Amino acid sequence: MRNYLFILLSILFIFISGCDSSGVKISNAWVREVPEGISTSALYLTIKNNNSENDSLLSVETGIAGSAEIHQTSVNENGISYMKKLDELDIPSSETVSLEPGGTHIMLIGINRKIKDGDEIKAVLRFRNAGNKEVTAVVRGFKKSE
Amino acid sequence: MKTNYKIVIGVVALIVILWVALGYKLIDLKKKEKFYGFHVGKQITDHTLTSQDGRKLSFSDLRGDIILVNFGYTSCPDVCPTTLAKLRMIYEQLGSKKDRVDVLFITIDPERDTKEKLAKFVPYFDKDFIGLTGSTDEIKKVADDFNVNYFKEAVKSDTDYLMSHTSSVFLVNAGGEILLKYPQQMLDPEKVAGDIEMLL
Repeated sequence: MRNYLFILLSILFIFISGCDSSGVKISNAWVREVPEGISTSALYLTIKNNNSENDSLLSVETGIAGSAEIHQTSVNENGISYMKKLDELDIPSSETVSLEPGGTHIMLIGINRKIKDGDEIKAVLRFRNAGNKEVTAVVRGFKKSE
Repeated sequence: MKTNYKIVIGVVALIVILWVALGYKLIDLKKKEKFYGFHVGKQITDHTLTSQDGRKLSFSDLRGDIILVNFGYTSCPDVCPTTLAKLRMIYEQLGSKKDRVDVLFITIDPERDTKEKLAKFVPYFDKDFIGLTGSTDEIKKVADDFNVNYFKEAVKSDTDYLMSHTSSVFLVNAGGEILLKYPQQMLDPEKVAGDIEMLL
């Protein structure tokens, strides 16, 4: 009987752990591979805000670039692509914000080492409410990027 | 009687000419409708630029081939690599037919994009892609011919800035005419390859 209870509690614990939906979750983080000698790239990821209050991404730091800026690519009615630097990125409550090619991305400026397909890069994202979140981004060659 | 005969011949000739012209125009329109890309229909001037390996290259050197032209810059982190990756996918779609297609990446940032920098960036996407640079004046003339706009933005210093630019891909046919234009967001590799196959 005690064994059954233990198994039941264990299952319940695993279920509750799996259902933990609090906080800001970051997934699918990847960095675009660039050829050696090219010092700019982009970090893409998905942010899900499970909290009941809105949040904002304020800044990003990585170990591979001199600086990282939140940028948004847009195309105007004349077909001109332009990038706008954002001071912060809104992550509304209960919503998912995707940073993808051709849209919002983290521009990595001054990449100081060679990055190649499969490399793992640590990044720290600073949120107004959720604080610092560390994420590991995988470098993708261009064949896997599109 | 003779005058009437001449008038009849004249009228018949006129009808034949109009019929042929109208038929040709209809065929032409049908062709345009078949393409996925937007029709441009402008003959380009024969510009000469410097390739990534230091060679002087003119558009006329590539006459007879289909040319896909994209304008961008090597410090571009998002749109330009995405476009070049899609151009590579178009190349893959074409199989052996790609030998009759040239892909040109023309920098709109000649101040920073030296041929050495282009040599690192452009062949990364495909060894046969050609990166082109030139003087600011040369680049301006080519861009104007393609109706491509570009300007510096977020300038922090002489070497630290972003470029806004037309990101479309242009298809130049074997006769040197800018035939089609693909805005970056409608760059579907399969459909673009389909247009190219219709022209080869």
